[in-house]
Amino acid sequence: MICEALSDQMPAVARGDVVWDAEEALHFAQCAECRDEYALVAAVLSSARPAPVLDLDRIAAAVSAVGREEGKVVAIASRRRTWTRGLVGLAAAAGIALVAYSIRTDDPVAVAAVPARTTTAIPELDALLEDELKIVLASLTEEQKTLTPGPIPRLGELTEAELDALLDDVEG
Amino acid sequence: MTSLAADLPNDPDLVAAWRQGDEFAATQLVRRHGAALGRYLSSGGADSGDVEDLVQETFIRAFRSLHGWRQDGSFRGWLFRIASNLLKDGFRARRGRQMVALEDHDLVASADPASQFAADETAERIQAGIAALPRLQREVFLLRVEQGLEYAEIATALDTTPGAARVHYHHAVRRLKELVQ
Repeated sequence: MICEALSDQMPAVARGDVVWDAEEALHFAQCAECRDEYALVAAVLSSARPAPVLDLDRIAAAVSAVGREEGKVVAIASRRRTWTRGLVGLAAAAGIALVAYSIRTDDPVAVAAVPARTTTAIPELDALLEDELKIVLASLTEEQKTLTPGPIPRLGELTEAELDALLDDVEG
Repeated sequence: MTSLAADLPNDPDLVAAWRQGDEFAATQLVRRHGAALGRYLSSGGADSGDVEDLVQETFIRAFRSLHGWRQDGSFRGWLFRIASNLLKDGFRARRGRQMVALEDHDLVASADPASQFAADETAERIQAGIAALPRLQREVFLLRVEQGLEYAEIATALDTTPGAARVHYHHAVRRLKELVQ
């Protein structure tokens, strides 16, 4: 067991970092196996290639520069993704609102007759009041108003049942 | 009297600081581990002209994938793991060239030509023996003897267990002792 303990310390002893204690030194003097192993470790260390000369400050600067550069890229990309995602969501919601609003504006009386709040297929719109919907629409540019929301089917693509359901939602 | 070393921040603290944008933390980590990585890469067979680039690449890869570092393993072991992978990539690219022969100026100078010759001969035999070891045995042996890594750190570096690293080390020692004697 003490052979293993000595073995574990041999690299550090050979480097001069630690020394054997009395018990270890006694064992070392009597154990040929340990002395052979130590001779090997010492020989490896003494014949090891010298440490290459490195410009650690240059390496550190290069590493920092890469980190800085990539940090910025990640930050910009993630901000852009968030902003774009928000815009896409807003555009989709506004597109549906536009459709619903255009149906309503054909009949001003019907608009007035719509109950205060009914659940629609667009949760984002459920939380908005009529005036808020108008603000959302007004905030969109002409270009944005012409966007067709990707996942939302056009009215012409809806089945009769889907159209009925939509109308029910809109008219309450 | 408190030693200077005790006042230095440990690796996990420096890594955490780096993650929060402290560039000086990265500088400290490079200064702390760069030389050892250079020795490891050099003794592992990297061309001397490539060592600095490989050390730099090791740190860049490490910092890019800090999220993958499990803090239960040492940061130093993890750096050596990345360096080891770089060495393997290099060997694959160069189709198996593994060790760099010792050059005269690499050997310890001696005033006694006879003992110098014996030392040269022993060193050559040892280096040849190390080169002939199976890869894991060689890497464990070099990390243990030349770099002074603990078995737990070697396990992290080589993606094995401390127990397996210990076994590899003793296999390597047995083979090399036979060779030297």
